[in-house]
Amino acid sequence: MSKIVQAVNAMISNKDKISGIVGNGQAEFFFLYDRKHKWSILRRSGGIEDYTIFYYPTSRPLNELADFEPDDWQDFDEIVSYSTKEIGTREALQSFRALFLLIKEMRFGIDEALDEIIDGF
Amino acid sequence: MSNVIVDVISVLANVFTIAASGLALWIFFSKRLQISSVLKLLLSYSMQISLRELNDKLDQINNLRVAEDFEEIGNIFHDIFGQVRGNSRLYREFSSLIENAELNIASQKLFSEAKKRALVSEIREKLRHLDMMNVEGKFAGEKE
Repeated sequence: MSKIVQAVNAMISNKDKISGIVGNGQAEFFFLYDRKHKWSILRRSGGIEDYTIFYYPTSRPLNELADFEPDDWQDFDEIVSYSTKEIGTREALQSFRALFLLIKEMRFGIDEALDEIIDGF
Repeated sequence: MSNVIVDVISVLANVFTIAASGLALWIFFSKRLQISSVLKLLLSYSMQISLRELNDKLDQINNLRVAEDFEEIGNIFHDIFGQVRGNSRLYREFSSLIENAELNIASQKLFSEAKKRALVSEIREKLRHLDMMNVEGKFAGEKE
């Protein structure tokens, strides 16, 4: 299993360390892991489904990154990307998809809503 | 007397029917190559129109810039994908290309002017190849 897939699995199991989630309205969510590492995850769909995870080794704050215009990324170097299509394994797709769903659920507070329903609130 | 007239007319009618259907059969068998080539011509003409439309759409995309008109580029690409999906012969040739292209244009963050040009050139080259096959009658004329 590649290291990034292991890291994503670790993020999913330690979801308490995920914070500061912001969306940019384009199927991408930015978040902090362990309060210092800046990440984002992007979903693309067409005939096939792809998830790309970005790591930002930059001093810029997360909110600033989330406010980037799409065109701004063309000249931005402090970014590393991992895409499930490039990795090409089924486990990468499953892990990345699970993380995307988790982040999205956390962003919109789905967990609390579901808890309320389950507890018969 | 009137019975004789009716008999004569019905014999004549039958003779003409046999002659007419014989003529139809003769034309069908002796000219079947010509008939099929007319049908092929029609098919090839409609394919020609589709290919030309696709080329026009690619020209439109070429004139747009990713930085300013990403949304419009995505719309026209989807227009192309829809047209290709609606044509079984085109779809057979383009299915894998479309999958990749759809993914590429799903997010502007991972798309660029260079990728747009690569995509347009790839589709255009494939269309040209199909156009050649079409002219040779190998594409539109082939059986489903």
